[in-house]
Amino acid sequence: MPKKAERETVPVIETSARVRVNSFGEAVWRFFCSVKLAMSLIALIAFATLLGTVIIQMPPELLGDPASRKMWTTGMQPRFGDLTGIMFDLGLFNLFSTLWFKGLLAVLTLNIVVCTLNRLPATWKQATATRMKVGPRFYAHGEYAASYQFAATPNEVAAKLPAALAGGLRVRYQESQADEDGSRSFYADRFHLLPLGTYLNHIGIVLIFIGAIWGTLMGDSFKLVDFAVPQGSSREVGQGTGLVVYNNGFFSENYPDGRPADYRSDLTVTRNGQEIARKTIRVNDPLDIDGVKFHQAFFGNAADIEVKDATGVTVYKGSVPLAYRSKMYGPTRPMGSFSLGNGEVQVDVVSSAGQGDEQVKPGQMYLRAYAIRSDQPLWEATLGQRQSSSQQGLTVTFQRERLFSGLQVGRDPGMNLVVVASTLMIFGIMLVFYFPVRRLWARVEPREGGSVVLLKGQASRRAGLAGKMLRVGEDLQAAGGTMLHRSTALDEEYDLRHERELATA
Amino acid sequence: MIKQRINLMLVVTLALMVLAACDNTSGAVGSLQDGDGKAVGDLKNGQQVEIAIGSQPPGFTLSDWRGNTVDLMQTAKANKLTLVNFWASWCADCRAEMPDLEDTYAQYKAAGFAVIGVDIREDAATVKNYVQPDGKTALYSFPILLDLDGAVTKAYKLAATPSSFLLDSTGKIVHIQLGPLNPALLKDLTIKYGFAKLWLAKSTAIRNGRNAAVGLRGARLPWSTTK
Repeated sequence: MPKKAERETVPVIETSARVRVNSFGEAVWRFFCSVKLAMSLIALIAFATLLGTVIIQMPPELLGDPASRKMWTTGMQPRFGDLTGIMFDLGLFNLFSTLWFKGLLAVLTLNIVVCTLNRLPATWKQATATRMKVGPRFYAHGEYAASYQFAATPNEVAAKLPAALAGGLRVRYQESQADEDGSRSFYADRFHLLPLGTYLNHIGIVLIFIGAIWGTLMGDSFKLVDFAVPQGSSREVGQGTGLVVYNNGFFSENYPDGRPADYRSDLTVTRNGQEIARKTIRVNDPLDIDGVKFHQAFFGNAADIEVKDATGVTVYKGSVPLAYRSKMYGPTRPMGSFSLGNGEVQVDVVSSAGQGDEQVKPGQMYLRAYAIRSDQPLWEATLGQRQSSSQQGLTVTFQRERLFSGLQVGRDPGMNLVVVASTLMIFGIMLVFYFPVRRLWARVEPREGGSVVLLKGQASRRAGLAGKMLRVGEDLQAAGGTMLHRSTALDEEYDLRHERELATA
Repeated sequence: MIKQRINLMLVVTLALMVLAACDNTSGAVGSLQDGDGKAVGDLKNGQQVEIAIGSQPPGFTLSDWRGNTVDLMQTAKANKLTLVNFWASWCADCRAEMPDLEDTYAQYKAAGFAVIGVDIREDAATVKNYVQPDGKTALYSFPILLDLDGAVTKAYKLAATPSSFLLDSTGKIVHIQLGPLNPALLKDLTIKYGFAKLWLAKSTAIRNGRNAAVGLRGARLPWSTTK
């Protein structure tokens, strides 16, 4: 063994917690073990989640297209004014997709993992290495303590004790040989391992975070929240799925008192021209094809628009879902848009705000075209059904309105992991809260004229321990014992039971 | 002082109740009949007509937006099937279904399918703006009647807009739709109530149109519309 002077000196880092650590790694470890860090992260994530809930979020399908993002953000100007730009830069319109939000989740995950691993040895030891044999001084104090005197010898009493201790508890230790003075110790408990259920809870939390980012990591998850398909129309899902969904019909029914009764969409899904599924979906009854789920989410009106060029060739014909509500053109009106000229020109289609809207009367559509790059307005027109307008060499016709089905389409391979994790969490919480640990130590000692039994109990919460100890006492008294002493907590439990018996008598 | 205030509140409440019970239907442009065809002034005064499948709903005679008078029961008895559709121009679902009603009406009117639109509480100018946006050509050829005071709407106990009632040739209700109709529903209803043969010819055209929309014939548009 090297001499003391030759031993390598390990660098010591003083932390603000005045705990001496022996390396940078240990300092990092302690940092991530910090409960303060966990609380701060949880508070930050909760605040960010609140922001993401109250601030309208950009539809995920727009995130990959800068032009669409810009258009959408411009639509927020009337609501947020000069703050719109700052909010966009901070990612408040796509908060749950930002790097900083995911970073907070990642750090919290690491914090939970490190904290859990850090506490595991102590918790495991506490659960599995309980000191079962204790000395006489152990019984001197305790919230749940009692003693009973017997005329019999310690050996005779020791033979009856296990039966008294059992019944709801498991006797895990009893001395087979008496001490020099004839004393013997016993230990019984129940659910001693179940406090480890908190680790199931922590594992569940970590798995939920992993499940939440799994799809992003693997690159095959997507979520389209504003996927509108007009009745009688089809739409490609994209995202590499090869799926096309056709809307056979949207159905909306009410109860006689006017309350909504049912919303459903009859969908057909094809791939490479072959029909692979047809189903009528409802809100909680989606269509699932190879992990891609189609949920009924919303509905509304779409405007059938046709645009022809100067030679009469159709350059656009489609049903434009008016899926957004916007104040861009005055009062809040349903709105949608489509593109012309290889995406260089965007045409906003705006419906009426309803009764009293004199600018866009019910049944009319207001159309406004502008160049995407410059925001420069090109033309505008207000059309009734089957009315046309000539604009810069184009003939624009509003044909009719029709209903569209609003779907939420997505694939999330991490969802199964989230379901498993949630189950683990619920299971872990149940184990911790509904199965508390109960421990009972007992010692038989010789006393003049017989022997005495000392009892002491511990529980993670009250957990009915007092009642259990009273029952042990009753069994001991039935076996010939006389109560010598009982702690205040047990006396109170006794009085309570007595009152209940009198009340029910 | 408190007693006087309480008395005043009681008087005001009673007065409001009396006003609410008063007849506010002018009936200036139409009349309402009970199930036996007898004219009634006000169904709120106790005469209740059942609105249910198998029953005969209240008949009515109203003027359309052009001023022509239409009688519901006469129309029902003159046709195999009559669809009474309650709507309003401010109702988006109503606007979405009306072209489909017009298509179905145009297809089957010769075979005895009638459609009567009943506009809820809008004046003739508003309805004309919607039905005849260019001032010349009416978009809908079926009669659109004006329930100016809402008496007919109330008699039919409507809580949802749009609502439609399908009557057979005896004037009895065979179907109630509380919500918008769509081409699929209209097809099912017309087939069920006697127009099945006419659908056989149309269904092939519809299927071909749908196949084109989903790219089964090659050309595929991001937003493609079929009828």
